[in-house]
Amino acid sequence: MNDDEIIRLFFNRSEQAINALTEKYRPVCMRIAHNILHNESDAEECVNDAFLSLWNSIPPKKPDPLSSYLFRVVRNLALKCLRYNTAQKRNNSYDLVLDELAEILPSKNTAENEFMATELAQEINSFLLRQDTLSRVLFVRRYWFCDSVTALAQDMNLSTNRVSVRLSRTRKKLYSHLKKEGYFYES
Amino acid sequence: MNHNILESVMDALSPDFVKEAHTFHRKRTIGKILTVAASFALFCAVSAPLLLTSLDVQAAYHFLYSVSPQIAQTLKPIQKSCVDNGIKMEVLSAKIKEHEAKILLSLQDLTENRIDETTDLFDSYSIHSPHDSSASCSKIGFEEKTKTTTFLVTIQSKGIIEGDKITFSLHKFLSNKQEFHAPLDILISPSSLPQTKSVTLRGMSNMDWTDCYRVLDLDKAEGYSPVNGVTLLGQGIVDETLRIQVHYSDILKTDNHGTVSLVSPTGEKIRCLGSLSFWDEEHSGSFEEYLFSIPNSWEGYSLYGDFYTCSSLTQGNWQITFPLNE
Repeated sequence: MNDDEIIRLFFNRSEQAINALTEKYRPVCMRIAHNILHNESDAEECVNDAFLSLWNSIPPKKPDPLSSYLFRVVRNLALKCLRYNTAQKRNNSYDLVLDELAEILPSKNTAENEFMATELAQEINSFLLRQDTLSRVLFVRRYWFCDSVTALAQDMNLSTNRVSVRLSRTRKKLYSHLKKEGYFYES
Repeated sequence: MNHNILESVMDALSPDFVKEAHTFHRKRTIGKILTVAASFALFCAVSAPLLLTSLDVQAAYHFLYSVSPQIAQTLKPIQKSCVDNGIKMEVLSAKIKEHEAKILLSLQDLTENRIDETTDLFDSYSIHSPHDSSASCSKIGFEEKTKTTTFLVTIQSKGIIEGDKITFSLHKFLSNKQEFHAPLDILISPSSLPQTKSVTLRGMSNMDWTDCYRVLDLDKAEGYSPVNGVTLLGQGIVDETLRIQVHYSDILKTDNHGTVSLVSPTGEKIRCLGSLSFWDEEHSGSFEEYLFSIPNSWEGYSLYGDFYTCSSLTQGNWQITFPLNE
């Protein structure tokens, strides 16, 4: 069933919408939640909450693409759950994924943070648009879907070494790009 | 950067990229970005004829291309097909529309059976165009009867126009690639005090980087080979993790690779926590050691392998140059 048909079921308040969503997207949603939480029951709860959230928000919302909207809801719920479970404790695998990126992104004072996040996101979107498809997909799968390097290597039919090297090159290019755009203060 | 801010940044990633990442299925492609120093162009225009007579033509072309791709491509003679090592490479069509060129190329084995439906250019090709451009190449078909495989090359460039000449070069390709996805016939009974050694790593995933790492010290001769090119050497407990060590032979010539998973008593496939890789003594094959967390009991657990191997590498020197037509 295509996404338009699923949305139509939501608009008709048909419970088939949840069945269709489950059939089409549950495995990916579970993967995203599990990548962040590493706990089957917590991941399942997040995915169920995400489906409920979609049921409550569509209509009036009509997300396009539906998949990205759903994945984002799952991701945010999983992050909320992770923060609750670990209560700021670092070193879970999600934090380690973020650490890879954090070291190449600029740090500024708190007052600028909110503005910087929006601006930086736009800059990263613009940077990713100019990358080749494979590098962009690997970047998004690693830092948004939080897939492990091993899982990426398996899915992309590449060696883990090649995935690591490609990610590292993209991070370096992003760092150079941000530096060129003036995101790093010269001390 | 603060993780909360970073989360906000990642949350604002374009939904189109998320959708693309979800739906993407990889074909072998590579982007080639070519950059030139325009200030050298005049110099090259004057010196090019001299260079082409005094140096090896191919070396001169590469030198000239490095400083002025436009002139290098203008001087490059058209050659729409070539044969080396019994393999023929030929351009079938080269069309341009606005800023995008689409080129169809074929590779045909004239003497043996080295071209098949798994033929893979192994990232060993290069594309030369007169302007800054991004390009990709993907396989689109295979004809058993003629032993011919067809590739689509796409070049995007704002400067590209009708009549521009493109050079496509290839030095090697893989074929007879095989996939193995099956349970591994090995009982999980890891030694809790295995012999270990320290090695210099060539790569790792999902682990904190360190040059040197403790791994299982196993004898390759005692391994079990589920598929040619892959040998499962053994298992053991090191630093409170289960280690499974696998050897992939001749990786630079075969692209042999894969992964091992644990299968729980309920049938759930459990991916490894991370992996370490290091060269073998000949520096041609690679050992991969996969790390798993240890359950309360090994009863009902088994291993599953996903391996990608190849038994045929063909090398040669193929290069064609052709103009783009509307």
